[in-house]
Amino acid sequence: MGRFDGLLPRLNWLGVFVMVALAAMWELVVSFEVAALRFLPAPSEIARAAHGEIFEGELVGRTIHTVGVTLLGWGVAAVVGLALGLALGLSPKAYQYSMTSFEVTRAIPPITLVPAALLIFGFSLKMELVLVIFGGVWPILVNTIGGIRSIKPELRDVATMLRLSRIGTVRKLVLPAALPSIVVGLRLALSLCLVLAIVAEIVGNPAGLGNGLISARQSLQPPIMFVYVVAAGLLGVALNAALGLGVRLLLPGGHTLRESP
Amino acid sequence: MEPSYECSNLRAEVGSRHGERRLVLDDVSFTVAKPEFVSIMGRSGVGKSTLLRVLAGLHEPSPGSIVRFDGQQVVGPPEGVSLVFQDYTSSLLPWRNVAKNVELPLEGSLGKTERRQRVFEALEMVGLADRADAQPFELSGGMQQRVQLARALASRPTVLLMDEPFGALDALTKAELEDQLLGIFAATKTTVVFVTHDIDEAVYLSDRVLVLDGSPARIAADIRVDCLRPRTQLRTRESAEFLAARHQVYEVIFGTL
Repeated sequence: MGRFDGLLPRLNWLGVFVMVALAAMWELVVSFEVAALRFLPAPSEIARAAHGEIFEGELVGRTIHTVGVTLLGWGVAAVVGLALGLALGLSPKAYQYSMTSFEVTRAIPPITLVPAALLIFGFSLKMELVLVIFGGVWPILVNTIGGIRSIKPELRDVATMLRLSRIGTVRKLVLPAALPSIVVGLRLALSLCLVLAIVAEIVGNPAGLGNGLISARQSLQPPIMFVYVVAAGLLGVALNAALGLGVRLLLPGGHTLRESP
Repeated sequence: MEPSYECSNLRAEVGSRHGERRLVLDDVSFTVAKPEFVSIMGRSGVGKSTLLRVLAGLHEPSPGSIVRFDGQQVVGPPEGVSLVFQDYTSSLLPWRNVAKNVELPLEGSLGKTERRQRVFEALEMVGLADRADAQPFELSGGMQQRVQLARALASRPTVLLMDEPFGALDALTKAELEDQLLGIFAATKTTVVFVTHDIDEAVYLSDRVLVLDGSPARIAADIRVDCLRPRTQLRTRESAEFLAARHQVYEVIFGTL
């Protein structure tokens, strides 16, 4: 019960009000034709198109696809990133051998790999998943390694003095100490995975929100296109909020590391 | 009295990441009996912490060094030895509360009820039994150091190694903790090896003061402190025995004045 306290009051009511006011201004600008924005529809048109897409179109199905791919890809990236990050973070030798290769590979923007992915996997779900996983691994890997390597040496001495086993040291000292950094990596990866999923859907896999965007463009339906833009934005917010909630519930203290004054 | 620690011909090097090794301790020889309160005193950087880390089994001395605990050569942390670090912020676990921090050395070797009992006893000894549920960041520096002390005491060690434990604290808190430590020493008869750069503190607390001096360092003097126990901040520090011992330590460090 206590963990849900303060969720509602924490909603930024002032910020929400400003957002609503901006939307209202947008509506007025378009309906009074203050500016000729043929391809920028009014919020009311977008709302009407949204209604249509939800009940007669494929918004729900496409959203489910994008969410599914994002979460699946992110999950795989998390497992791989955490496992590899743990191994490299704990072993200075392994770190030394592999970091140059990793630094070079992770500098490659995932988007530049889209054509290659298309060639290898074709227009398929596989292509989308591979892109999402490849992009999502890096923030998690880097942050896990960073979190582990920044653990103060005194803590390692504590583990030695208490004669903790290797597993005991990792479970009781290393993971909790690295946790804030790891959570940051997971958050970054989640946003990145969503973006890559949509990119892959626009370019490669005809499904999901990305595909909705393309369809709307091809049929010259700006209101519907913006429905998908808004949907993608809301999805991003929802995923982040869900992750934040998950961290708060499962890992108390995982989102902050309160240092002593 | 049987010896707990015996060191002879102890040499230790400290190395940087680039491979340069510097000889910090050379031909250090001394014994610590049980139960004795011995201070290792010296300037900052002379090698006191290195010496303590060798005793703790955290630092490997150069070949040929003899470091024995209870008759056995020290290879890694010896059984029954606890270490209290100077930097309590970095050695307490911020994600655990006070009780769980103190419990750490007991996990895996004791059952739940016995652990709880020991934790309570240890916290009582340092006067923090009522803060068992607090998080470390909620406590003052002196209190956090007492939590670390409680954690070291929870495993009922035979020897307590302390690396400038009160160095980061203000003078008044330091005085309180010194007396608290003396009380614990008297009650538990644990041998204490106490590293400090504070001459007055070393003399006030100890039975013997080992002065580490030189580069590389060696034991420059082994000074007996004849003050009676129990010691008090006021009376002991004004006594002739205290001043005599203090004088001797000053002369070793600064030369005859």
